[in-house]
Amino acid sequence: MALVSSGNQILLKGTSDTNPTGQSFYLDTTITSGSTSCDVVAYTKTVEGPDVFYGLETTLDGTVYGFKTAQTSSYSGSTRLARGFDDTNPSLSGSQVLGSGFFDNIDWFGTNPETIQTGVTWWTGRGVVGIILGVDSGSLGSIGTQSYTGGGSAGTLEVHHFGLFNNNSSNYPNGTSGSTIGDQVLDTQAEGNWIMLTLKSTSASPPPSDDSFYSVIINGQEFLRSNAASVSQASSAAYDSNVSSGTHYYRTWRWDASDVTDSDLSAIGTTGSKSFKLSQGASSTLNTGISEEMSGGTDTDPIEFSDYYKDGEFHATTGIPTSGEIKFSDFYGKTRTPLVTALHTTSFVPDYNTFAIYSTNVANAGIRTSAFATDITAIFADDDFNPSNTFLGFTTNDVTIKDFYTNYSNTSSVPSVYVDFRVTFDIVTNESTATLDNTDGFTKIEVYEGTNTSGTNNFFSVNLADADSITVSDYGSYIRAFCVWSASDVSGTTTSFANHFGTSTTPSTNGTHTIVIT
Amino acid sequence: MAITYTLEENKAVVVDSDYPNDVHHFNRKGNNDQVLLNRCRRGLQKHFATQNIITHTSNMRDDVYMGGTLGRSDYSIGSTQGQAIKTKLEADWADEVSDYESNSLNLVSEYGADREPYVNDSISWYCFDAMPSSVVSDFGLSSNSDHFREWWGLKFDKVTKAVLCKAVYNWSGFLANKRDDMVIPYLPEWLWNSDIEHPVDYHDGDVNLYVAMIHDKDENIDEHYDIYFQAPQNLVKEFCDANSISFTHNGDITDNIMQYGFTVKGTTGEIKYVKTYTRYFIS
Repeated sequence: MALVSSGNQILLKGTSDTNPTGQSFYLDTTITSGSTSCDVVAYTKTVEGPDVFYGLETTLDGTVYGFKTAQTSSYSGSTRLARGFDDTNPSLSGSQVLGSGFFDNIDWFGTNPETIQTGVTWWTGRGVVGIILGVDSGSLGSIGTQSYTGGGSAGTLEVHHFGLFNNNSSNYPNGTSGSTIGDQVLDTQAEGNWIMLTLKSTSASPPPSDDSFYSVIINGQEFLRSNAASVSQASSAAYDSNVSSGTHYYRTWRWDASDVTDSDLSAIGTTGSKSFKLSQGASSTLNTGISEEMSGGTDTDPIEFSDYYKDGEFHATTGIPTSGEIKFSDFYGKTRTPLVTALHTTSFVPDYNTFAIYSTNVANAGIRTSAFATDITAIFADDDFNPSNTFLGFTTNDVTIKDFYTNYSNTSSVPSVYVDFRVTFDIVTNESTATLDNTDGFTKIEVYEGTNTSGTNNFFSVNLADADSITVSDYGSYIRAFCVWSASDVSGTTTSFANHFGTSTTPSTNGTHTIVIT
Repeated sequence: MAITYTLEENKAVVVDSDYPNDVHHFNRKGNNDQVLLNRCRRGLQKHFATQNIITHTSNMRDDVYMGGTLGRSDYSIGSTQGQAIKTKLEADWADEVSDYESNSLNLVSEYGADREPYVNDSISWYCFDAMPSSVVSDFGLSSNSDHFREWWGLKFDKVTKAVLCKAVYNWSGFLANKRDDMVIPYLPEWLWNSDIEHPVDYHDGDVNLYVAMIHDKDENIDEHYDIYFQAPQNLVKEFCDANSISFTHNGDITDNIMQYGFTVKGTTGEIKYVKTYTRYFIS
């Protein structure tokens, strides 16, 4: 359940109330839809003996309605990043040919889209192929509130593009199984319809999870995130005229085919003001009482508001103060995150180590023992712990931490920013395989500066569910599990080597840190 | 000999038949099958590159296979074989380099004219010290040291006595210094770290490869260049098979593979050869 998201229904204790049904929202605002023409022009390719003929075909043709943030300056050669449903400058090369929202449906672009790159035959089409909007770098429509706080570690997100497209093209797709437009033959005009939402963040890629949004509801029509394809992009100021400095991150979701029917679009309407909501979850029964939601119904009279600070007696819900002023409105729309008990806590002293390898530069900060070991004075105070039953899906009561480090590896010079965070566990078990469920055994790893594990001392944390990959190697009497998180999946204020673990090759000068596994 | 990808609702499970005891689980993270597969391949490449690092020491031999055939062996300069080649260098090119054994990591080899631009038997000398300014000026190289990797080489023609420089560039350095008529072939997208999942932008410098170009003392750049990267052999084979590039699988060298090289004919972008670099430690 969750608490009601607004109004005066919220109470400290609401057990005698009738719980309302509703939905919690990250963002509840209004979009004033603008409109612009949109054409998608693709190649056709015909091979006759040794001859290859390229032609052009307008595969999608219609009007986009919605909101779009303006570019702060016009095109700048190949440096501009195309994202969402941006118009694409036909003079561009490489990936800038297509707006990012179209990447996942390159079938719209003809028979050989994989060769969109520098130096191959697609160059002949520059100037005529791509996405052509009536409104180019300018803004489209407007939105009441653009920024919101996502769930989990998503942080502040911004609605960058939202648009819907009603395809009018009756010339193409031609609706036959013999169509040459790749595997995804478009049989009807309506299969060319789409809806796109692009979110922006200044810290990390908006997560492809309910922490970004569960659904988008436009003028009462709901579209589930889980039905959309998504593509993420990162861009520095050099590649994005909308970025003043640093790197900005975008993720675009696109609904199309059977998820966007003509009747859906008709119900949404065209230009003008429309309600626009990004939900946190499905519609459900809501709580009105803070104690019912945040204590899980365990609190008893007298119920005191001071018991409901985050990380206090009852919950660890993001967005609730941990001290000082606390207000009923802090709890609007919140869903309880329960307190958790640490599975294992240990301090450690990290090392900094670099490898000048023939073809790969590697820099590690932390502890590495299983291969390319860091200095022997870089140690865990207690690397061994005893789960009660399972860990990462394996039946075990004996786990050892082998590696715990941030990693940079590339063939260019070692920069200050790492690319991923890596942890290796040796799991004593008789089992050779497991399903590796993301919640089985532990859910989170937190790292603290020093030995004080209070919230304000938290360097960074990772959720098991956010891991990029887990490689399981069978060593007979034990399993070695090698877990990797991308830097963008590490929540923390910074991702530099120096600020996390130091860059001294003398571990003792990097200071003591603490790991909490829950 | 292949990589098996099993796509599930929330993840992909990947097994490379060369490493059957390692099972890789890649979270889907909301991506479609195509993007998930790209992430799997990038993950395999990174795992190989960072978990199978073969360190560079002063007592090793690197065997280079081209088209499945052993083409040459690079020896540490301090080894018995390395000292013999060093003697030949000092005899015929005494003034070309002040000290061929300036660094114990330096590598030398003798090889035949098995690919352009080499026309005669030659000696290769790779140096792991900073490139001296004399080499930069002799071969007309970029004065921007940020363009280069940490090593460089000279190629000595035993017949004509001519000397070529094999300059090793990072990707952005290659893009800045390549000939205007050089074409970049279609390359594996899993070599790029970019979060732009498809297609990659070749101007993106965050990439796990490097490039070597051959320069002569008239400041010409040969049209052939080499692209180097680390990857498990089945991943390279998968890419080559999909793009009609000849690839020979050498099963007996699997445990010693260090990296791969694509030799590219620059004016057409054709990948002419796939080279396999293996490393062995010698006493």
